[in-house]
Amino acid sequence: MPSRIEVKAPIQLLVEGRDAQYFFMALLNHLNYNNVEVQSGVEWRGHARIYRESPDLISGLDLESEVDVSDLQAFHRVRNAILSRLEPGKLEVKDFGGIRDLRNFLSAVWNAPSARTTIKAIGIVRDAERVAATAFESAQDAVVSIGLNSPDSPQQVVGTKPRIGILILPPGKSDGMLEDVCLDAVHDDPAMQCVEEYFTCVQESVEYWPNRNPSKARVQAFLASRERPGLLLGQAAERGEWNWEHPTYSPIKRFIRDLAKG
Amino acid sequence: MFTSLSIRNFRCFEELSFDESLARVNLIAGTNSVGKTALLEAIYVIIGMGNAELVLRLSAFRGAVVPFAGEPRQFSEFFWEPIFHNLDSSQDIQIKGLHSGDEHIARLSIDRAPSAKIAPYNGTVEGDNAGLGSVTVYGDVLKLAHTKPDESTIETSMMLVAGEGGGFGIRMTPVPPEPAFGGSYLATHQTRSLAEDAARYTRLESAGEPSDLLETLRMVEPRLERLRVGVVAGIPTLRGDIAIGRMIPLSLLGDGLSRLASILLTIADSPDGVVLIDEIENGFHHSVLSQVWAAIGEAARRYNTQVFATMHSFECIEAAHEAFREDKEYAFRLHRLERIADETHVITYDQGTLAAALRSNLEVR
Repeated sequence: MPSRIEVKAPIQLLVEGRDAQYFFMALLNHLNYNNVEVQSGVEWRGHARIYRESPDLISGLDLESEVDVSDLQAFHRVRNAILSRLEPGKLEVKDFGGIRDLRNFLSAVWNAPSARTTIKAIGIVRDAERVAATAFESAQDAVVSIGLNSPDSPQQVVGTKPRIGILILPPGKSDGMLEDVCLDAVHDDPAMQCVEEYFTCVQESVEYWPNRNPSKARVQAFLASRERPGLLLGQAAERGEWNWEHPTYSPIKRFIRDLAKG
Repeated sequence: MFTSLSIRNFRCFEELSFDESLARVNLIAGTNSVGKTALLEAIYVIIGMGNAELVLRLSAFRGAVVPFAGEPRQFSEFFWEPIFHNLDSSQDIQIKGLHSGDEHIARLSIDRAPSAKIAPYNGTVEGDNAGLGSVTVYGDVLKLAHTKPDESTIETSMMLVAGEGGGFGIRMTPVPPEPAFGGSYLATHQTRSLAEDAARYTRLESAGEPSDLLETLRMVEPRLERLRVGVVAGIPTLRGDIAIGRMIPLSLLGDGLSRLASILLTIADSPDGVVLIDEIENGFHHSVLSQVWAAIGEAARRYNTQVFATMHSFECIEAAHEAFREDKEYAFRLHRLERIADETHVITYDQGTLAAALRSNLEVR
């Protein structure tokens, strides 16, 4: 039985889905939260690199010498074992699942042992999907339903004990998702022209194209052009495939810094 | 059924309240010394409806026994003062509960002896409604006033007395009326009463009820073929037949079996009442916990009994949620007591929140 996930960090970033969780962990690494806020760094780096770079963390643990990241069970065993040896960091990224799970997950985090004395800020990140305003309102409802004060607009961080912020992706857009943020950042990459040509070709060549999520498909096609194909968006983030310096990520970084203030 | 409770100045609680968050079955979690057992004790006092003698039992429930050396002050220090917050009996205890829409209030206070030194004489009691004679009262007197929904009050006192023939005794006066609804406390440290379980079983058998009990107990002991009350060493005892040619007392068939029997019999014997169970998971293998909860839930529903139970294990919470989640009304709540800024708070998990926490492997205890 894996150890229970505790609420240890004062800043809790709740994101939609495992891919988003890994994406934000990687971004936090980039923002140099990884040393102080070790949980995010270690959670994603819980594979072979941990063994080589941090032998002291694993000495005495009954773990395999190499853990393939695709073996999720082994990955989590390693991650939890390592986390149990580390001091809590400042920021934890948690996956709240699907949007329908947000209210209950948020409530479970806020109800967790010591959460009300530990948590200083909670950030909620979700996709705009078809209508950003509706996505924001549903996140607001989740916050209010557990008795906390919600911000009036996306990216705003309000209140005290705890401060609350809601980020709708892509920031400032009326619809879309995390994948659109990443695609925007690689828009000028030469491979993207091939990606667009590929989908044009597919659409013209097949009688029925059932793809209901073209953004996800484009991300997959783009990532197929990288050194190690087959990665998910979050895994690609950890491997540095997304250029964090691109301006499209600036509102996201600003949101995280606002959350971490104070 | 209690729908809300508030406790003031009792044990470790300066203030504690459950606001409309109580269910038929309530599981109480929290770290050591946060007050889980104290919460059960407070409920035990209020369901006694003016029976001050119940306070005397609390230390026994905790497994503490002190031989009385004839010093009245010792009596007060051991039995009365520990129930007051910070041992400060200058502030009265108040336990308030809304039960089936009716408000009950229990107030506990100490009537101090004029002198706590050499002769802590505190007056006389001129006989009571039990027909006992006049006695001399020594030391502090514990007073319990229970205000009922019709705003009438039952008042009883517990005191150390010495009769005319010498020798100390403990007396409650007057004898309170029967409570409006039943209640029982299954303590961790207290030895279960074989005779009490046997008596409860006999009452149920007379009412034609116990067939379900046998079925339920079989999940813990599949060999169990029948139950019977018999006399063992002069004590009425509930015994089980596991086809070895002799009936065996349930207590010898395993702690889980006898504990489950005790719990279910106590629930059945407290219709419309309240059953308090300390460290409920003791004695049960994790593989049967879901069924144990299902049986407790069914018994509580059938007899309209409310259950409050403390525990420490994550498996116990998972099993309870599993047992109740198909229930239309989800008659279960997990409450965790937590110290926040020197105050004890109740954090209650509704069904959705608990499901999300368990699904995400988030800590809840």
